Amino acid sequence: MRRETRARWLAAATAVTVVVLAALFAVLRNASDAEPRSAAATALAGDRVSVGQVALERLGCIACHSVGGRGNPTNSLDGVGRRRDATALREWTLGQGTAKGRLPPEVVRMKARAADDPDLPALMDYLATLR
Amino acid sequence: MTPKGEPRKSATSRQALVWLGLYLAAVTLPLFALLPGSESGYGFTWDFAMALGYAGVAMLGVQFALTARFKRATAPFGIDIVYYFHRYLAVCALVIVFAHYGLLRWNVPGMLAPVDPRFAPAHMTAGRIALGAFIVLVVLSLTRRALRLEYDNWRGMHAVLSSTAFALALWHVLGAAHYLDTAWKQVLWAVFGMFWLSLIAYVRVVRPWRIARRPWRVTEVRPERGRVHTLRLEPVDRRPLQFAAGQFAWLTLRASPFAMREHPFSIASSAECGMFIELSIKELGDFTSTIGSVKVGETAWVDAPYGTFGIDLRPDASGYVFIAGGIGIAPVLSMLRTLADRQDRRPLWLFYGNRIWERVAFREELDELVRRLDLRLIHVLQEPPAEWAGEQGLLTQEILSRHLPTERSGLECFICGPTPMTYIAELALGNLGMRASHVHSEIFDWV
Repeated sequence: MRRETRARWLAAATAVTVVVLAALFAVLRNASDAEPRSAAATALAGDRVSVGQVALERLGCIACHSVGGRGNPTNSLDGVGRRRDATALREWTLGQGTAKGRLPPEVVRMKARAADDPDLPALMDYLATLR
Repeated sequence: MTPKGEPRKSATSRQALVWLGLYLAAVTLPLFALLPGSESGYGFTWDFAMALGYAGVAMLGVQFALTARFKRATAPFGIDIVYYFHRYLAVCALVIVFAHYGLLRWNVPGMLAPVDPRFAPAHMTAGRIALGAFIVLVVLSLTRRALRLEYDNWRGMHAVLSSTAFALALWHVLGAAHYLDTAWKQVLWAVFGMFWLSLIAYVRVVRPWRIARRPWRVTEVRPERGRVHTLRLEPVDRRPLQFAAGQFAWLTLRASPFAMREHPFSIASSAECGMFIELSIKELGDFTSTIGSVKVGETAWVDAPYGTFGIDLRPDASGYVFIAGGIGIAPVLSMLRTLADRQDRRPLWLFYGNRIWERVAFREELDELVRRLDLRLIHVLQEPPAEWAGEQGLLTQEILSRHLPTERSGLECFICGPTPMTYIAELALGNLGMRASHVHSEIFDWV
């Protein structure tokens, strides 16, 4: 086999191995799904509100929103608990109801993912505290 | 290869496997170190995308090690293979990093933050710029020749872009900080990133400084046939250079070692005398077009020796076959001169392809070597003179078959020349029953 071809195969095999190991990492991280420990684990750091605070970052909300200057400053959530009642907060968090028609489709899809998150109640509680 | 040579080959294969294992460890261990103590996953796609991002950045870091010319790491493969590996792996790493970005865009589009840097966290913008710089890097490297980008300019651009892209990618990782939920994980990745940044500093500063401490002097400039010039270089400190016949040197002329204007050339002189080296360089373009204007007394900077192409790594052969095209004769000349100095009496064959008889470099010295060695010299001319009775046209399997012995199992073959000639020779030798492990080729254009 030509030396250049050998190098090409070597690189391809190495890259495939890296991708397989990355997939293994993802599998291992999700292997404990049978015993959900998200809320329990994060709760070690504090109360239900702190679980919600962690969830806000974990779910990627801070890519578009900020709280107390942390995150994307274009859509501040400071005072959102004062501006919206519990129903409206839930609709805007999950891209449902009136919020659905006012948000881009990809954002609605992204928000919809949070509906199944075990920390959603804690997130709602946290948002309600932002006054 | 003779039975005596087999343990050497398997040892080399073992070393190659060890280095490949180390590569995979360097890329994936920092990722798997993030597993203990983390919360459970956020779905396979999300975690897979993140893992690809971490692995991609680690691959970018190791890219700097691949071209750092660590002799022990490159020896089992050959430095040309390692440079090709670096090139193809860059394409693979780009695909992996792009997959990280693409999966997140598909899976959690809101997480990527706005493209407008005014409204996006700085680390997200850093990640985007790093990805863009990385794409430019790969495209420029793959199309350098088509774009007629001068080698020195490309290399400078490559160094700046790659260092910047890596620093930005590291900023992105530490800024996004997914999985880096404890201080020790943050420290681990900060140290990991700093290690690669230190390696860049080593390659760009420490190694040139070491080369600068050992200047060489041009003591002879000899014009040869076929627009070839031979430079004889001697170390100013008179410390001999230990090298093996067939190896090459990185040469810097008329520039500081820090300027990254070095070029690889095969050493053409005998390995039996390290008090000087000779580099035979053909005027082909860029740097080499000015080689004839080099003056005796000029300072040169030499980083050597490198390469695994040569007789000394296959010392047990019953004889050697050399196939050279044009200036590909340089490393072959080093091997022949070395064998002559050692008074080696093993049978040798040299197939030497050129276009015109008058431009056959070193043809008089090769006639002299025929007298000193058991050497069969077969010139192959594309445009032979009217009275030519030797081989003509391009090198073919028939030409090789006409001159090589029927018993070839103990022979080792070395090919150095233009890429098409190398392909033809490798194919022809294979058809003639030569085992691939006995055929060694030096790639001309790996930089």
